[in-house]
Amino acid sequence: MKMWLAPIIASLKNRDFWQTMLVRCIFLVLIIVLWQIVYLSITRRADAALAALFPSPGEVWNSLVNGFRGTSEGNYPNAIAVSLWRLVRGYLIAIVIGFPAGLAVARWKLAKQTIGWLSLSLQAMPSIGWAPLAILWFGVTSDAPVLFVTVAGSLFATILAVSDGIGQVPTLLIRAGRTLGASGPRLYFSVLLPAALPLIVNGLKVGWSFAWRSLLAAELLVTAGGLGRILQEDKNAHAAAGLFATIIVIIAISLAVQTIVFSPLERHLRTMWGLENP
Amino acid sequence: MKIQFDKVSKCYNGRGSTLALSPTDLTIEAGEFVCLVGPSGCGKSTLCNILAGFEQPTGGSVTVNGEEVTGPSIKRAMMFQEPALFPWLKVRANVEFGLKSLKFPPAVQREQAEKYLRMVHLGEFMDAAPHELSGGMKQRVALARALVVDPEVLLMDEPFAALDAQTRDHLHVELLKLWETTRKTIVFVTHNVREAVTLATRVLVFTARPGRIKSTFDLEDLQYPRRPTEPLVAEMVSRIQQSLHGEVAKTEAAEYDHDVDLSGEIP
Repeated sequence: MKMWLAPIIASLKNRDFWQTMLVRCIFLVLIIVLWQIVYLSITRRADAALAALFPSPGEVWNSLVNGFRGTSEGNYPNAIAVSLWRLVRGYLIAIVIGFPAGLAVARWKLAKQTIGWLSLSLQAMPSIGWAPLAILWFGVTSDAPVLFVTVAGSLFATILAVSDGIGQVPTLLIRAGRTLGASGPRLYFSVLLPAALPLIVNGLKVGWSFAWRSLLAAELLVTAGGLGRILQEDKNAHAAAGLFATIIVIIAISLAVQTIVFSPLERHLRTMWGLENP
Repeated sequence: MKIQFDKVSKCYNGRGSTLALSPTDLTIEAGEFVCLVGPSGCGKSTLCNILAGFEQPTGGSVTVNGEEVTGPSIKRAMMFQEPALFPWLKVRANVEFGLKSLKFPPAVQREQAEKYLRMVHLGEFMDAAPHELSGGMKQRVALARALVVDPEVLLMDEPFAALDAQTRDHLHVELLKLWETTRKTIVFVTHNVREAVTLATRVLVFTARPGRIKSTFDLEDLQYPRRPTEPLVAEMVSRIQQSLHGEVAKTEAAEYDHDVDLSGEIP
């Protein structure tokens, strides 16, 4: 826990951090002002039907607040919980399968020739391409197709990240390990794996972002709740303000996971591994 | 303990095949401090890597105590030009690494690691992370890490080449002290003649590619500590440098294929 909080607390004390925050706030305010200007010019000229498709910042704010206050099934807390719970499960499945598979690909030539090659090919497939098949198999009313697409979207990235991370461990460290008597599993788990950890975590981050994108894409196509479902319903209801609000929620979640989980972890590893000054 | 190179040679197959080391015979006795000196690419590191077991000879064989070298072993611990410390382990755990391979009980690991870290004057830094240490300190940890496993021979491939002159001088003194107390057999690769004369009981000069032992200098009669200003030391340095000089010129001639004459171009 200390490991996580220390860099966050350190950044709170940093002047640079607050300067960055200030610049970002001003930037956001400028975007909102510009948005309001565009909104006003549209509503003045276009007819009402068209103007309804472009919400004002105020309308989006109201939609956002209502979304969090609402008690219906389709409110944000509910949808966020549904989506994140799917994400966690899908991502965990991808890691539980992908991690050992990545180790195997890095370790055995045969695994590299088969699983490694297959992962590279499947990695190139846009994950939403799996959705029709998943819906055909599991229907549109359950979690299963969303999980399937999430796993398919992040599994191969995870396998490749783990195997590439280990592949990039400097020969020097491997030789140091071997000259100190490490071989077989010990060389693997006491030298290669820890040496590759910063790259592996970077790969897990990539895997996470793939999982998150795949998840939202899949949720657009099923009826079983979640943030993607809210987007779809708002579209059907021509609720532009709702769409904007939901997009903001999605971006906020992405940023939050990045800031709270991956950035501190990466920074900690990079500092510890001597790749970066604290 | 006896190390025997029997017609050991090494070819690299890149664009065409390059003979890095022509068949070499060499015997190293227990307790010797042998320095391999030569121009870059003369096969001195290759010889060291073959002895370590990282590279297989193309021809011939190396035996240690009559046992053929087929792969790396903790009995032949190696130090590199880079410290190659494990950055995720504290200094102490780095030194304990080899003892763990030898399956010593944790208490012994701890005790030995502390003893050797104190020997290299890093008793205060046992719980530091490697990245908190200076280059010279890291190399001292690497030395402790290699010595603590009590190897039959300590292999050192230009271990101080990346350090500044002062740190290097300091480490020479420490290394000699450790060698005098442990009488470990050391095979030390360097391109620095002065370093070789400061440390070795025997200096082997290699020829330029293909590498071959050109001449051997016996320094056993030279008293430690060897100050560069002492006449006998200075003489030995100059003798070895002379032997080496022709080889460095050959390497240069091979690497810079022709001189460019600019005299006509400049108005």
